[in-house]
Amino acid sequence: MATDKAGPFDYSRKWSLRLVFVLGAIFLYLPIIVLIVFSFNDSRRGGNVIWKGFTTKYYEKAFGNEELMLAFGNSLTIAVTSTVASVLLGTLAAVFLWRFRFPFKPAFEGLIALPIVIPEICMGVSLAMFFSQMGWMDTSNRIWPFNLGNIIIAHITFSFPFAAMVIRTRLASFNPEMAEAARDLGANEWQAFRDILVPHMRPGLIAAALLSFTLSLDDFVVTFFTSGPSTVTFPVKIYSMVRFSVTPEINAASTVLILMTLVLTYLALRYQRLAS
Amino acid sequence: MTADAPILSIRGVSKRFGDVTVLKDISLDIEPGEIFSLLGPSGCGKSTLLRLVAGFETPTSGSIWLDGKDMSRLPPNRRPVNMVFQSYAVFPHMSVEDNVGYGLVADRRPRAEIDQRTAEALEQVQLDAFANRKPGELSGGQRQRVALARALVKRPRLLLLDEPLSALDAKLRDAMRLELVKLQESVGITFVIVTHDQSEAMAMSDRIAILEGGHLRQVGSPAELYRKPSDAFVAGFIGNVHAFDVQRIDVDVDVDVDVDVDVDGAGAGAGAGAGAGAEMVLDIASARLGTVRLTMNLPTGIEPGEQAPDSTLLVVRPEHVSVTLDEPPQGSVSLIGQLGDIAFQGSRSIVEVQLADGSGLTAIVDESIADRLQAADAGAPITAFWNADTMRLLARHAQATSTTTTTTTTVES
Repeated sequence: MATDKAGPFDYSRKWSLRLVFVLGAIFLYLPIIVLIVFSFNDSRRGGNVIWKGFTTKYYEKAFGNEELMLAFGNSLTIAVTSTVASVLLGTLAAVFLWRFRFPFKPAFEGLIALPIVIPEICMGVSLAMFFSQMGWMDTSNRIWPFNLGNIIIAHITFSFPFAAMVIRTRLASFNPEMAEAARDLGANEWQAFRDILVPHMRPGLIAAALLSFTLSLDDFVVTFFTSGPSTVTFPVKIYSMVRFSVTPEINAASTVLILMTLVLTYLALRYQRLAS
Repeated sequence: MTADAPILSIRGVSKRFGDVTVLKDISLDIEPGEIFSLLGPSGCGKSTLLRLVAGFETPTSGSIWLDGKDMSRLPPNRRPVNMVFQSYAVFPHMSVEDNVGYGLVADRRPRAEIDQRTAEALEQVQLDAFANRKPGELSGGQRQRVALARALVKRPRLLLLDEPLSALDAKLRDAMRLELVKLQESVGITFVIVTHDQSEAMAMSDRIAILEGGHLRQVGSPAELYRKPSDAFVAGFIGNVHAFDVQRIDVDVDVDVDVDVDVDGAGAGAGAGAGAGAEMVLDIASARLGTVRLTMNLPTGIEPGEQAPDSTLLVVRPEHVSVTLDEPPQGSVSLIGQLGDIAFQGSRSIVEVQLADGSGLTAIVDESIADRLQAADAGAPITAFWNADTMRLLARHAQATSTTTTTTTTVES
């Protein structure tokens, strides 16, 4: 056996595949690690990859930057609101597609999935045109958080199809006899839904929420097109800061964002494990 | 049959899904305290009938009565009937205890009562040690017990079981058969079991309803179905039969019938298939057997004279067929063929006889005959024979439940 040629799944015996693995790891994670490490670099320029000593002053600076903090707050508000709406709409759509048969169902399913494949730039342009036609583009006279309305609507539009798909996939594994068993044991339709179907969907709901949240939080293209002059989100703000100069302040803000996403994912996974 | 009022009465129930008729005019009564099986091949409508009783479907026509009340339109949660599903449908996110208590919680029983009855039910199915486990940690057999306890804890008037043993492995299945019967005896609840396995139905049931293609073929005790099948389908489904096409039936009026010769020694009862009327001597002509003389009642739906092809059959069970290398006994029905395979099964052996027309016949013989056959060469000339009295004259399809004398015989391919 030892003299056999490496089979298709003998990954560890092929040096070429090992190389691919190492390169993949380097290109995926090294930049992120560098970003985090150099957020503590005592240098004036963030693009500088020469270690000048440890400092946390850029974190203080980032947290002290009112515009950046406002953008961050906007991003979180948009992400939370659009996540809640996406998961609700996604659940409705998924249950509808799972439970019923109706004419033109494949066409309807295709339409729901369309925002996933449409280039983001097209979506951004079309939404921008739509909002300006409606006269909603100027948000300066609206009070917070209503000035974020455009962006929230846009984010729901592109993240709800992902939520619907994830939840639908989860529903496919539901054994309808479970709901019937609940009904048989005395539960009415609402009780069976609450006690049996929702717990079954829960991992899908959590996955859909995480997906929607991260899609919204780091969206640049659609946000850029749909935000008015007075509303700025975190990615858009970072972009405008980078255009002047890359400072470790940006590294620090990005590190905070990474940390938040990791904590959130960890909590979601932990909750899911406890539930099952 | 008991004189009690039936606990469940299915009256003229038909069910259509779109253009497909799944059940056609089913009427049957289930008595309190019995184990009643709905038996038939897949697609016969037995599961649909069970779902109609549970309330997951509503009949297209006809009605379903429980304890003298029409419950055809009641939703499943308002019927005093509980079901053990084929997949068990144990709730994976709840502990065993919560699964069993679910029905009582839905009924808003007080907490103390829920706890007590749940504990009792778990004890009944010997799962008290597993109360806090999740279903994922249980074996298939244990999950089935959870499903049983969950239904029994509600003290239903009827317990419906959909293919309760099909998901278990062979050993466990045999043990569970006995256990279900014992459980039924101890709780006294009427069981309605859906199964496609005739040996399972025979072993467990007090009475069996045989369904085929949405029609009710026959209802009776296992012994009745075996001894007095109403048609060839039932005869072939309960055990095996060799069937011979009948071409012509003549009533021999010259022979006096003074001896009551019952075909299988069973008393003349209310056997669903056997027609009333006097016994007569029949000369039955079959292409493969020649003319066989039988003394019997002419079954309902079979008229003397020419028989339509494939409509009337003369059947014999392999367990009544014997074989010999010599001359068959005088007066027996016999067929000459060649010795085929012999399957040794302990005290009995199954012998295959290859007939001249290419068809085969199996006989079940005891050790002494098997030993002699083993000595003979394969392909040796051999005679299969049986006592004419063990044969039955049957319509291919009879409408077992109808009490009218007009019986339509459908010829199916």
